[in-house]
Amino acid sequence: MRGISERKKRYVAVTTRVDEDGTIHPTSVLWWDGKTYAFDEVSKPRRQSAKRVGGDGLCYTVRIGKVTTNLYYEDPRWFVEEKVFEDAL
Amino acid sequence: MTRIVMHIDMNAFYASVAQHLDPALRDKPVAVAGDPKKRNGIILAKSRQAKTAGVKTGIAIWEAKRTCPSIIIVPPDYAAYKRYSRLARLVYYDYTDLVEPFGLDEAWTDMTGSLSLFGGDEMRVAQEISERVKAELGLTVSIGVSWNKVFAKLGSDMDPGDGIVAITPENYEAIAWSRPVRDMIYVGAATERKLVSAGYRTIGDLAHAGDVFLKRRFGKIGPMLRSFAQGKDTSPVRMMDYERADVEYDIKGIGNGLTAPHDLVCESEAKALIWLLSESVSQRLRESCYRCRTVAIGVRRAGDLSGYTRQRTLKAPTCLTKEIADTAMKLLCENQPLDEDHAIRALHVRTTNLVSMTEPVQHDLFGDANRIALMERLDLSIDALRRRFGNTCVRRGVELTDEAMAGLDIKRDNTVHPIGFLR
Repeated sequence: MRGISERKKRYVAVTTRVDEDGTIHPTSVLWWDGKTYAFDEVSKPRRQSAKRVGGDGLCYTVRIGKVTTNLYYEDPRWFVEEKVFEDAL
Repeated sequence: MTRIVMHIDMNAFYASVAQHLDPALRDKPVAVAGDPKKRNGIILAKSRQAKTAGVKTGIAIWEAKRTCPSIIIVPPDYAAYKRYSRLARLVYYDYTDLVEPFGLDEAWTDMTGSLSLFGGDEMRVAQEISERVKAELGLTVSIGVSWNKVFAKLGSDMDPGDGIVAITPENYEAIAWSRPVRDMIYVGAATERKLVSAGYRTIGDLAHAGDVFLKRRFGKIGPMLRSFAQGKDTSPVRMMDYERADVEYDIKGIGNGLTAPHDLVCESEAKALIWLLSESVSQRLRESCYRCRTVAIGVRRAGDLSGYTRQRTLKAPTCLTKEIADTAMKLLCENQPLDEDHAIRALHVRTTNLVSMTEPVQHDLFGDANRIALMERLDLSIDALRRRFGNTCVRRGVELTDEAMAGLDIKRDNTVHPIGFLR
């Protein structure tokens, strides 16, 4: 297992569905390497500060397979707290 | 029934926002400062670490660097401040509809009516608000809880961290009365000097001051200050428009000031700046549909950075650029010679005593009302041109006499700052 040395603010392309009442549901993310990951589960959003990378937004906890992570909506952009691994440095 | 008033103050607001947005700045001495090239390079705000190192608001950047060599200077970001100010207020609105902002980083809330909906314990509600602002916005707040606005503010100022201070009818004599008078809102440098010279050092002293002294020294403000110190402030927390959640009040005056790009050493340089400022002020006056009765100037000398203000009331209200500029120039010339020995660092032109444009004007019997009406129409047409093509599309010849100033667009760069406590 590789250790995580730090987190980086990474803006990502997100596909969303907007309901009639204006509620936004993120459905998938397009990662910078070109792969698309569909969300298997998306939590209710809450306002939260992204302490590790700076900034804040509406935070959705999303599950992709076994992994859960936080996805932030900064209006109009989306970002995640990208892991930077120790051996990548 | 006693009220439950909270004063919520975001700690080191500008610097905290910068630190929140960039984690690399956290736990470091950070200062928000203007642009040194434009000569407004003073420290506007500093982080707690910078404060510990001795950096003060208002000193020049080079002074700050000397007191604290490791200081990181960041430019101000007014849009971000407005955003976080709004988001914080939206948190407060979850607890009450009575939220009165005081500047961008402070607000009073009145929880008297809604407290029972949240369990009835004001300290736990304050704790919750503090935790929510921290978790959602990454900013810390200090909260003062009391039964009036004055003591609530005093309480929030007492803890520089993210603390919560309660000042109650039981403990206010112990907590508030031992503080120096300066800590109380509405006691500034001048009032403090007057009070201390008469032996009133603490808020408790002020609470026991006599009528005669207070009235003679401060007029009607005196007894009011004493009632503040006694905790008898009854001013309500005003309800603001929820939708706007922004700072908005009646306009009392319109003014603009500028630290000149270089010190002003002759009449033509001073005149250029006076006209630039008057142009912006009168244009804003006309946009808000006001005429002013009083024109005031503020002057800061280059030599010792001391300053003075002068004002003059006009015979008839006006919104003409020329009349405001001429009055301001006359005020300046009457009060000092314009030469190298009396160089000017900064100028300020302000109009007060506003009357609505819709009100009829009583013209001067010996003046030329027709000409004034024509001039007003000319100014309004120029305003219309500027709205369409930018503020610099039509310019006064006098503004072009100074190269450094010709590039300035004071109206565009103007931001409206809020308010005072008494309105």
